[in-house]
Amino acid sequence: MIKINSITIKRGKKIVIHDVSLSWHKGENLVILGPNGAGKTTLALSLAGMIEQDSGHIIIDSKSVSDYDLTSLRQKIGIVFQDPETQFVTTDVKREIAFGLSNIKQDREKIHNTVDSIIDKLDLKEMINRDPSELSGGEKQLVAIASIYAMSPDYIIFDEVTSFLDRKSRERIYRLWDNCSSSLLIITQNFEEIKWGDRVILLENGEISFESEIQELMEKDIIPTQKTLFEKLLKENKDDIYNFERIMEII
Amino acid sequence: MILLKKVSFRYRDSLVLKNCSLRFEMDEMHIIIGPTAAGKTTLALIVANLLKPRSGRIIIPRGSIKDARKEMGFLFQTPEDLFFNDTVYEEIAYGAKKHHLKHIDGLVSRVLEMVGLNDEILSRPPFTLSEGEKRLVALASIIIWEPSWLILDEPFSGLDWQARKKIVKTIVNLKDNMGIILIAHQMDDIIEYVDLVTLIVDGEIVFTKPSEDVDWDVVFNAGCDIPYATLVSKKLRENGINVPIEYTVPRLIQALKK
Repeated sequence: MIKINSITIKRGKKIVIHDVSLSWHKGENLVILGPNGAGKTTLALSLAGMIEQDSGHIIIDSKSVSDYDLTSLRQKIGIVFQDPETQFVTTDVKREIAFGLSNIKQDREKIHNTVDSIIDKLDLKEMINRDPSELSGGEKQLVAIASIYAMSPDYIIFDEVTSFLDRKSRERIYRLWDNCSSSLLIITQNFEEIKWGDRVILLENGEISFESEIQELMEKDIIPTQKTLFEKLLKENKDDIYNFERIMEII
Repeated sequence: MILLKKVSFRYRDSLVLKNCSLRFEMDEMHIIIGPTAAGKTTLALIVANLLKPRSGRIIIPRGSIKDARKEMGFLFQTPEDLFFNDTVYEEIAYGAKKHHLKHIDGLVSRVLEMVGLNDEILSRPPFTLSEGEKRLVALASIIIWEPSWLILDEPFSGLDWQARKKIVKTIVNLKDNMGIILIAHQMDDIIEYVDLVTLIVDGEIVFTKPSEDVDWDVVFNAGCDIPYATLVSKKLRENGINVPIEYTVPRLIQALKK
């Protein structure tokens, strides 16, 4: 389990995360929603041990995040960023996916098998020899995901990873989420992705403003979507719409 | 007008654009859609003269592409790559100074209001902003010098619904004064304001059509997102409700009323 106890993080004078406490159980998927600037990425970075908090503690499986060395921390928790380019270190896709595994000194055959299986799962065959920096935005995101996924850490944070992806590419990632043995933390603006969470957290102005099971969140209608807009307009025009009940049933 | 004639482009051994011919008009909002890696960004970079095509021509009536480039604002997918000033104020004001504009403080306040940000952000370093704020600041730094053309590469990706609403409002307000070329894979927020839709798949232009004439099945089968209203129209038809395939929620409601 990852436990965050009252953490506060400042950037200059600005408090980005204010007294946040949170538990993330092994086997549990969390979704974090929130407006831009709410502190979602900062929270993710601190969870992954990539920035230090000004106060409070982060405990990963009974050990403080600061007590992990980098290699064991990366095996414990991985993070995929919205802008994946910053993660690339090699000059071809296959090496990029294998990089983390070679770094933790896995044997060659195991690396080879893992990398091949990920390439297969994410359908990356056509790009394995290409330079990651020359890929399109969506392709880069898939490679970044593949390289973290290859490490199979216990916990993986996906920080708005699907925001540049088309429907088919998103579906590749969703299939991966469906079959992923790691516990996932999905930061997203895409409301359709909340269904991958067991619990949903809304972060606003650096504080948790709402935390619930998914069903409860749907009922509260916190985030307007095209679906909620459509339902609202349908209900407003109920008397003029023939088949109203049937339409509501279908959608 | 900007005219692309049989433009092709290759990155090493990969042919990214194949014989693309397209026409962009002023006072028009033209959206380019397509699956990941279809060549959308490459096409936009060529239009903006930031990449040179390997073959084909770009025709600008009464001028050269270099002159036209000076009148183009380009909002990149990751705008922070281009930030180099210490504060948001300087970042936004830079474009105005470069174009020798006067009353810069007033212009900065005006564009800040247009993109829906408030004054307190002006003293912050741009690198410390959230993704959405960065996008809005980058947009403000472009529209401050009022380019004739605005090219926006995935301006809505990663933005919350409020930020998306702000960007849509800003773009729609600019539409009458400039040509807007928009690359986006999710178009629900903007489609009702779009004049022309171009679908590009594997570097080839599949079609360019007015929004109301688009065959959304072709778009869907190419792996792209389609508007929510279109998805619902299809679902209703599959379930025996006779309704035309619509692409915006208000249009669908109107159709259902009939």
